[in-house]
Amino acid sequence: MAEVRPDEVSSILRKQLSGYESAIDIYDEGTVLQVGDGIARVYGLSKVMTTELLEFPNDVFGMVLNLEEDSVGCALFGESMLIKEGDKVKRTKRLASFPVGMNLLGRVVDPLGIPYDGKGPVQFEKQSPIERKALGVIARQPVKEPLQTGIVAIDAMIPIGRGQRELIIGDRQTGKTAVAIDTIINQKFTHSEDAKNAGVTPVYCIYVAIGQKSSTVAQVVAKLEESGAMEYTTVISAPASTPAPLQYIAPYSGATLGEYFRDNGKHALVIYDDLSKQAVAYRELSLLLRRPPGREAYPGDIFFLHSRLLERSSKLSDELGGGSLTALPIIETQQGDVSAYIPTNVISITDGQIYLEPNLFNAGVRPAINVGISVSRVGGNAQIKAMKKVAGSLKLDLAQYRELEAFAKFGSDLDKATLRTLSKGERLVELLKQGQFAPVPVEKQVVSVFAGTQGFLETVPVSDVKRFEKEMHEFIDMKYPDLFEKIKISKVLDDQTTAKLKDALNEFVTKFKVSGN
Amino acid sequence: MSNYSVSSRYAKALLEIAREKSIFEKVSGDSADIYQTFKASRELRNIMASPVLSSEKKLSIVDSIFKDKVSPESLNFLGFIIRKKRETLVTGIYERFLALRDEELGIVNAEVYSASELNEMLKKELISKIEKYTGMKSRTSFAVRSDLVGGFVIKIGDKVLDASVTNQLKVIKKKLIHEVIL
Repeated sequence: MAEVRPDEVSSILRKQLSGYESAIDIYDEGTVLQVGDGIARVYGLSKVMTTELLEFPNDVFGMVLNLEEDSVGCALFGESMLIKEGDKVKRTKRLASFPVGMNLLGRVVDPLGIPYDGKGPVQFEKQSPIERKALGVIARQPVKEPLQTGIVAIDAMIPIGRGQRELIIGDRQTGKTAVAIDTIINQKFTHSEDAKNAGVTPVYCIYVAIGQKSSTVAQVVAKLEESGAMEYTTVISAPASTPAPLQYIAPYSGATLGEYFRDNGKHALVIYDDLSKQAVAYRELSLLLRRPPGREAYPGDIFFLHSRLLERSSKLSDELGGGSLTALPIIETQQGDVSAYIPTNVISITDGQIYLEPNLFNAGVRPAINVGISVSRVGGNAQIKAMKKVAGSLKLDLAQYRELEAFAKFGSDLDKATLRTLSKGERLVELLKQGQFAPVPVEKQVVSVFAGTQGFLETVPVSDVKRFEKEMHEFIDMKYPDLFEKIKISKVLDDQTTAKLKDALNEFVTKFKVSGN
Repeated sequence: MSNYSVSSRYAKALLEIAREKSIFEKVSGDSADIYQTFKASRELRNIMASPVLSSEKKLSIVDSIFKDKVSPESLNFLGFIIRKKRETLVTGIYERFLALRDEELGIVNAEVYSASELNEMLKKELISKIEKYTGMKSRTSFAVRSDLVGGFVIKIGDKVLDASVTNQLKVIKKKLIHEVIL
């Protein structure tokens, strides 16, 4: 450590304090009437605004939530043990806000922007209020660009567009977070030179962890760092140990940061993991504030809680820079019950859902996406043309397969057509299986799906499908690299390319060695 | 139901009656007296809050205390509160009444705390400054608080004008912690 010279210290101090003038400090002050369970009631402060930050003693901050006739109800962001009745409370005249700026990327912060990662203070551009009204109709335009998740099943059948809100829903331990993390990792491509040439703009990611174990968040951060995804990602963490008010505002902080990227003409992806825990935190807060409970003891405005959050994701019109904010909210169901209160609410708000099933997960179909009931209401417009062309029959083939699957279990005599549908279905299911943290680029996805739907897998045993896919990609990469390049750049599959692809696949099928023979 | 809104309603009613019958000055003087009496006597408040005593008993108690001291209208109002079984709110009602009255007359209550006793000239100057700042007449009380070290603090309602040395030290401390070290 370099030597610290005392005269230097005093000169620094003098410089820092030179701006300080002993002017009269004017502020509004109230008194704590009651405190407990993370809630304080404050007398006075007649001009305070809702969601304004209040300063309590011992550096505790609070946010105004209830404005009543003679007092204000306030949620505390710190220990309520540090505050006692009769303490003085100061107004800050600042709405609860979150620091935004490019320097937030690569950081792990709490919902007020205070860093968790020990990398020093956050250098931010400005503070934005966490609650903002969603944009109106004029400022928006239809979703048209794809947001590649790198997961074949999603990109082919449940495509997500930039500016869309797609719910990821499922029981615990079905890989909901894995889908989200894979999507973040897959955005790495959009930051490369390659993507620039292909006309793909970068997507910045925000991962909001609400009510999770700190160890889980640490694992996610480690994984993102390992894959080099932290460079374009901000993690906002409100783990289970933080007070309910912070868990409640965490998604809004995430949306605020996302809006910063969006409003600057950039593209952002925000993941709320998960909103059921946020709803629980808000329920806790509301009950403590004595708001009347409704269904499942949630307060009356629980729908608005989620709708105002998700409504903030949007695709801006070209006049406003054409930026976008895509949201992937996650909801955890109990025993697959999607008709519970919070799941139905969020399903109705979002533009579709990806439904993950424990049965599929346990049967080894991973990602455990139930393609039958998963939908994307707008993404189709955002799919690249090549994918749209090859994936058209995929969903249908799988639907037919599922319908016949039950029959096959009886082992009765089946006609040839049925057998063919079944064997094709089995191979397609196998093809859609994918490892974790292994996103597939879109051009390879197109080739895989093409091979699957055009019957190139017919001769391949089910157990060899994954190996077939891998070797096929390697083969094309080596022998016909221009095919991938063509699909990536032009994004269409014209007749010429289709013919070439067919030839290449025919050549590969003859060369492919079935294992065990 | 919040006590505050109940008190406000009674206070407003009293204010309107006083204005209608043009006995505003008298009623407000009486109210201040009643408020002070209730505030000063814990026994009286306890009696009023007691559920054991009947309304009649309470009425006669109030009667004997205030009969010769306040106007019949004020006494009547006090009786009305008791008959409506709101006697526990008496202090609250008069507090609100006095606040509403001040609002109507354009008077602000200001408290001045200083580190040492101020002389009359300074006090006068402060009062005139407060009246200029708020644009209203002020009822100012002065008190000494040695923990301020130096300077003074003026409180007008929720607003605090802090020119004390303690606060300045606090501000410097905050500045040093948040801007130099970080």
